[in-house]
Amino acid sequence: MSNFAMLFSGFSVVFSFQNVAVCLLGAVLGLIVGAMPGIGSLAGVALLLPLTYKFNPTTAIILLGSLYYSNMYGGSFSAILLNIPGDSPAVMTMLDGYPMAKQKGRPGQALFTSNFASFIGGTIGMIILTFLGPGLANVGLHFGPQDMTALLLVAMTSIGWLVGKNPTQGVILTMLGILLACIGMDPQTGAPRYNFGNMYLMGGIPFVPFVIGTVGFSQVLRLMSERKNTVSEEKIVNQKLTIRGSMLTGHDIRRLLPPAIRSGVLGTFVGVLPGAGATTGAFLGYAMNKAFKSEEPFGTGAIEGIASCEAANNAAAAGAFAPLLALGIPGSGTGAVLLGGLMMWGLNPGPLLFTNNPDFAWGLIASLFLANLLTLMISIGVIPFLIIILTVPIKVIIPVVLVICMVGSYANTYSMYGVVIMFVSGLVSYICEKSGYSTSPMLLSFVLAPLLENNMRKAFITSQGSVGIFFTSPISCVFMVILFVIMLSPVIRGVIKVGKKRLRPNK
Amino acid sequence: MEEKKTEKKGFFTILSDHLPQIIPVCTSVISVIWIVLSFRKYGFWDEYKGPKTGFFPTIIAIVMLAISIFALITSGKVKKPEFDKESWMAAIGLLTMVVLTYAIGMELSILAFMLIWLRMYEKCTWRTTLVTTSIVMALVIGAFRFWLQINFPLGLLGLLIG
Repeated sequence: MSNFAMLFSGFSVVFSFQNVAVCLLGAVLGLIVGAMPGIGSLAGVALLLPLTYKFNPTTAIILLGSLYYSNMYGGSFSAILLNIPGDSPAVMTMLDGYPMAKQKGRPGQALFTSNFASFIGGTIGMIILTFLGPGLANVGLHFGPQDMTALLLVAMTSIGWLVGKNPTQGVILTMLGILLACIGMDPQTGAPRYNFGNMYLMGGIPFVPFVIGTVGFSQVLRLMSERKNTVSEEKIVNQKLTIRGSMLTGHDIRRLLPPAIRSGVLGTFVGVLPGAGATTGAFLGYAMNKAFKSEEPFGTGAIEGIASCEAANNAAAAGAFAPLLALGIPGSGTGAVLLGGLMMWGLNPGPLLFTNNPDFAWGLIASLFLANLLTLMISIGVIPFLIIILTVPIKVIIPVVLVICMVGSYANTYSMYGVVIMFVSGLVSYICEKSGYSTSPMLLSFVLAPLLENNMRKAFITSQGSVGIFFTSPISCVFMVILFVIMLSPVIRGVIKVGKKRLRPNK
Repeated sequence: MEEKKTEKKGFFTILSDHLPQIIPVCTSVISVIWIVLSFRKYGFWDEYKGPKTGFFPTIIAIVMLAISIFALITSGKVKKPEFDKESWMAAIGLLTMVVLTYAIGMELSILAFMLIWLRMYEKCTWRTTLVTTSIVMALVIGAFRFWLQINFPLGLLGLLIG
């Protein structure tokens, strides 16, 4: 069956009353969480993960997918109206969004541009995903355990390398995530390991409390120091917002379309790369469109500026689903939470997903299309109420998130053990983040560790313990070279720095 | 002679000053524990069956140990982190909720925490306190207790009431 036929079969799965209702719920919650200052998509998805317990796997994943997707829309609202980015990709939106809202007195049009460009970028990303996903899965079917091991190692280390400022720190937390995932049972023999005689640890570290602590609770600890920073009245766009007054003119739409389409295509391919994600997509989309002709210069409130980064970041969010579904490799921390959510439901994303669970894979892709459309409608509908949502004080958000962290962790394990895991992982993550260690690589490696172990052991059984197996197939050979370059880059950079210093004559 | 001023530093200040060194030391210790356990308890390689339970964790632990040592050597260049004392209030708040859960149950401890935190700590108005607490309680009881059917612990109070 062609990809489009499969996509239509996916729509038949999605269009049940329950799934559409859940998609709508996810879109509303994701939009609110994404718009609220300080929470962001990663913590938002993690905190709302417990809400999926009630549903069947397909519905649960549709909820998660729409949550993740609508989160991407919400980040730009505060960037446009308050000059505060709701999430990191919205930093680029702020450059033109706030001047258009404040100086040009067109806040409604800036919001409309952002929403519409996000929709276009997302749709382009999803159309490419419809073709790219199964194609990538077909390539993945030819991967042996040694190829998969090498690919997973590259994915894990490259994220550590790209996300944080210091690649060494990224690799340390990647390894720590793997070691933590080893606690519990040996996936192949079922023998208990590294549980230190503790009954609870025998079942391993539960994923949901671990994620809630790492991103939710640690975020609360960070927010505590920001809670007294209220948004100054001068910064708020005080103009009354109405849907009718926010509509774009035909001329505005003609200005918006070309950069949105260009960024949509670019953003999708950026999203496919591990570690690159929506922020890089938004940055590259903005930089690329700056080279094209625009009616107003970028950075002065140009519609083209808002459209280029918003389309790129939403397209990247859609593009990131291609390696996630087809190879089981998430491109970001949020992707890792989604993957963990899929695994929680017994689904193993990877090359066989499109063959073994077509209903699920195509249902999820179809739900992204639906979530994109629903989020566009809701994001336009909430325009008159945005200032109220955006100015909820952080000091009120903090205790609410704390309670959700505690209740969500308890609900996952039905014991205070979950709360303890959440508390400890939150504290450790906060200390690590403060010391410059990014925790996203740890989350990613925690989720991918069982897959890596499984493939690595299979590869070594086949080769009877020889490391040479990773250099026998061209695929694994290429990945291993990339891995060595990534791992050795801090050392090489250090050596070059020292060499340059020595060569430079003393002043 | 100029008199040297010696500034007394608290335990936590000293700790945070040395955090760039403490983190790689901790990860090194974890690596060593994993390596020792792997070789002593779980085994590394079986001549006939191949990799044993400790095989994969040992490889990862060795890599982590090597990189942690490298990070420790280069830690002098890393910027010292600065912590805000107020951040720990959230941790204390959560711990208090956990302790209270054992005494009065989770729902009542959440209610008490919300009221005390918003009204006394954040000095919010009664209106904000009551509206926010009501929304949170509706979420906890409505979504978690009734919809997801989570039975929250009742604590000692629950046991006494029966």
